[in-house]
Amino acid sequence: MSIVLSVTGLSKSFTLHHQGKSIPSVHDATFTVEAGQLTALVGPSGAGKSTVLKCVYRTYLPQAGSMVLHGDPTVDLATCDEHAALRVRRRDLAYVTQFLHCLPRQGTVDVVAAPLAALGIARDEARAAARQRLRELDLPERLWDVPPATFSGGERQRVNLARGLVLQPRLLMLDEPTASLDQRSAELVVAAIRAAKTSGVAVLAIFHDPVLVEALADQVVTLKRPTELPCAA
Amino acid sequence: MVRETPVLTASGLTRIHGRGCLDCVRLTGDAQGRNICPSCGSVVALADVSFELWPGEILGVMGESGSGKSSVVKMLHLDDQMTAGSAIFRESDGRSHELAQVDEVEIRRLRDTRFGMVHQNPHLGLNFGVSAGGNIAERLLCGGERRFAVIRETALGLLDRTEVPRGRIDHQPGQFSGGMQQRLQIARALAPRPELLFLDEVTTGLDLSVQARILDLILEIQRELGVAMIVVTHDLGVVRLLASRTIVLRHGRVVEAGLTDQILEDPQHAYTQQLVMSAL
Repeated sequence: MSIVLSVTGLSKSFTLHHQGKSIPSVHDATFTVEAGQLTALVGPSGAGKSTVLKCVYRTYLPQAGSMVLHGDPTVDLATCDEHAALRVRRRDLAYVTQFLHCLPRQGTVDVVAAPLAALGIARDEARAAARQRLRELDLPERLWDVPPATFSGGERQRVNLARGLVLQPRLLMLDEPTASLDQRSAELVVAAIRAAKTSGVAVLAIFHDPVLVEALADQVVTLKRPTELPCAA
Repeated sequence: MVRETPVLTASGLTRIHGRGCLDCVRLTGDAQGRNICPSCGSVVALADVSFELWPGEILGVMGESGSGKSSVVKMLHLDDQMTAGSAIFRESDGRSHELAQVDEVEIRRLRDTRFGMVHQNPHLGLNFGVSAGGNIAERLLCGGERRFAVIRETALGLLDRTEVPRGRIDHQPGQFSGGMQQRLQIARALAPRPELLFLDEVTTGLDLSVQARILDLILEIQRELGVAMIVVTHDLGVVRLLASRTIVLRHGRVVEAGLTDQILEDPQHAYTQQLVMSAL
């Protein structure tokens, strides 16, 4: 199998200038994610699992390490310029969190279709693909034209996942994708993740439920809570 | 296909109000905590500001009042001359212009046909002496369009796009609500199909539902026309919604630049951290 992402020696701490403090979050994380496989990040809360995903997405700037997305071109997300990072986000990377961030006042179908629209795919085609994903995740059709702002946690989460999958990304990052789902919705989500793996998507995921790690993970990476370090400044 | 060259490359933009001295830049800035030169009393509105703007991109320029964010726009829109630095504007037909050196004729042409400007205060961006349609027509006439039917059709199309009712084409902007004045300003700015749009605090002071419609309109314009934009604001919510990248100014200097979500979630500079923590 081919490696899609290799993270090497990733460290991240947050410097709070006003309090003169440095809060360590991730220390020296190293792992790979391969095409068609799922790498699960596990560890106690505060071990920096979500921080790793945000570093790979480039929302957080790491202090050390590399996060190489292999492909054409191969990009180190720790050091690449902002436009390269934006290009990766548009084409290769989908990031699904517990929270749905989207443009307010946009209907659900358009929220899900947005990643395709951003690539210049025609509106009708993008919306058709979006409807297909929403159907697979069993989101009631009467909600499709409504903005997701008033949806329940579980509904939002499925909208979020639908948007992450619509692109067929090379790397899919999931932060507790089943956290507020009932049994049946969780099963649909698991099926969707399996289908993505089968189609060759590399998945990096955080699950709160060990059963899901057991069921879906090909590799497991355990993160430890970093110890408090004295402020360098 | 997307061009692989920036629309705008600004390097070392500097604007000093006053006679200036050799120490102005060294004695001011973020580390010094001031923008007035203690040696000669000149105001250093901007010093050494550099950034690129790519086709179809929205760049946020954030900072408190007095940080120099409006000065950036004034210099790039050629309303004010830079003291030092360079700004290269590239038209889609391949011509490029050094904005520090363009002559009066070229300034006029760029402003009339290639740039669009939307001010916080509609009185600066609209002609209150003529009708809504006249405001759009003025811009088209400046661009050389003389056919009445084309002007009328373009004006109606722009009013539709900015959701100003067609029936109000002959009304003067003074009879419009604040939100509608702002939408008319956007229509006027878009009339000559500009390649670069400047938006200076365009939603400041409007109530929330009106703000929302203006922001939606700006995103729609970006999606459909692919115009590159520079959005100046002190409002974190506005950059979060509109801009893919943001620069943060303080005392006339860029103190932080990056992807907008990175700046809002993992700010590196003490000032940006304070700004983000102060947000409601």
